[in-house]
Amino acid sequence: MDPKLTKIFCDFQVEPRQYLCADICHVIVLREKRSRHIKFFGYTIIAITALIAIVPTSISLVHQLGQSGFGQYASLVVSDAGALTGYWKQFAVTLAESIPGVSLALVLGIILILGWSARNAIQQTKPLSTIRRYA
Amino acid sequence: MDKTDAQLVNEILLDTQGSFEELVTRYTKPLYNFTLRLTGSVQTAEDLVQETFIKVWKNLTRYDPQQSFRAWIFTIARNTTTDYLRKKKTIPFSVLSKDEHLFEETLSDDATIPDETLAQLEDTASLEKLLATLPIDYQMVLLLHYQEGLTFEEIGDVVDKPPNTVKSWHRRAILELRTNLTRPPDGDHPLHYRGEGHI
Repeated sequence: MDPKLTKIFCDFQVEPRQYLCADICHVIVLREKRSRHIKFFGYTIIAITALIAIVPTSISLVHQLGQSGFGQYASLVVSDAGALTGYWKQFAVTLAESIPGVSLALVLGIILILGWSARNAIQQTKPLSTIRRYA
Repeated sequence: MDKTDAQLVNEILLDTQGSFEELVTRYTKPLYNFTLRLTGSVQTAEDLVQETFIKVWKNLTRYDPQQSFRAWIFTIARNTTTDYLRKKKTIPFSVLSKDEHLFEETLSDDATIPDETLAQLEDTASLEKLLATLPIDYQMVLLLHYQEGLTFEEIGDVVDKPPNTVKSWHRRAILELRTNLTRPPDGDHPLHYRGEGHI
């Protein structure tokens, strides 16, 4: 690298206007805040929808558990555990078969979505400390 | 002691207070000068610098710490500037014909500018005019190498070309500067073809 050319090019530099850095940070903060507002709104909608959806799906799950006899089978564990020891494999299969799989998966899925969207919504409310003066 | 770029990036990703501000302060002037020399407009340079930092903010998680951060940020600035210039259709292009290659071979292999000729470049206005006569790629190489201190390998990463190509551009840029300094540039100049809408 030619040191003379380096000096010439370095002397060639001009200073940007005084508040350019501040303006850039300000614009980024505004954009980030807007993006966070939109995300917060979106995640909240999803969380509320999940919360509403969990009611009928839970009711349906409970109803199906009652119809399938899961409750009666499960109560045997408490009331007559000794009698089950010899037949625990068959009992386990019968118990598993009585679980309404689809309804259970639906309820668990909705709970996961509720947790995920609620967590993300809360994350959008954190302050933007890395651009401290403008956050 | 000043933090390194890698340390600053790490702090930004950990949402440490004030780190991104520090990065903006550190790179605003170099990026501003880079975009200003390529576009010739103060307002455009400010807009491009802002756009560059917005892209840096959005893509910081994609930055590879193995790469020089300086080269990475200038890559973003270069792409942003060339996109702008393409939209405006003002990118000049260099066309090298067989004759131009022959002309180069007749010049001295030493790609330097004599001291007495170099003195003319110390006038900012002259340097500005001379730089503007060069193709945009040559301008980028000179600015990144002499103003920002990037190596040819780093410049290669910025312009997405092999280092040997960058060295070749550098050599041609110096030769062209030297020729233009000793002889005012005109339309018949053999080394340089000026495209339409030259800055």
